[in-house]
Amino acid sequence: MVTPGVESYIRQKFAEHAGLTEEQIFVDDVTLAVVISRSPRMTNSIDLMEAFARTANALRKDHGVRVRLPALPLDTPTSTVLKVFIEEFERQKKETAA
Amino acid sequence: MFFGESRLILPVRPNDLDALGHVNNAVALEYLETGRWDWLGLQGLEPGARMIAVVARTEIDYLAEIPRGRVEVRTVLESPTAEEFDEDGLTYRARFRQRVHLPETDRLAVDALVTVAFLDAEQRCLVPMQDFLAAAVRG
Repeated sequence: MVTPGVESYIRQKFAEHAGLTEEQIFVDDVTLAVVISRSPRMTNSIDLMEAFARTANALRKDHGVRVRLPALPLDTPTSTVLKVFIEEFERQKKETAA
Repeated sequence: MFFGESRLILPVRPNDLDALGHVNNAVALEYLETGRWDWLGLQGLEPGARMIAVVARTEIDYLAEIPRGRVEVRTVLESPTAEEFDEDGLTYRARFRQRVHLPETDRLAVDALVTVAFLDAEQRCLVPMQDFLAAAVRG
């Protein structure tokens, strides 16, 4: 069971920190390398990690759950990133509640 | 965390000069690195062997010739700011505003924005600044 609203929250926050629209990131299921090339705020994987970190920091503030993503290769599609993000969120949420 | 500006005076070495008799552009990058070490020292921190800081990007403007004499390297953490930095959060990128002044005239000679990332030298992967700070040796 996925917490309602979390997926759209992650999509929205990540797009905001990448300086792109959600469509530019998620519609064609592009890879992280493509996200970097499209983003006006990203030059390399460090900028990408910073965008993930800011998304995770916002999640912690607004939903009270600390999420830390594993290192993901740049050929990872955004659908997989989103899936990993949500799985981590739900896992940490369970651990926090336990 | 120390969010103030560090100021370090360095002598210009004879071998810093090129054929034109001014400091070579690549040497200015060494001055900036020394300035960042000085800033870190003001934090009371000495990096450990495993978590290291690496330069990921340098934007630099050379504004005036640097002759023989002395330079002053001013370094301040521009991002994250004191308001942005969260010890319990995640930050993968630190940006330093660094300026090299000629102390005799207070003229600005170099203006740079240096982006630094943090690596786990064993795992060869990016780590947050918070992990770097936690692993650093407190002097």
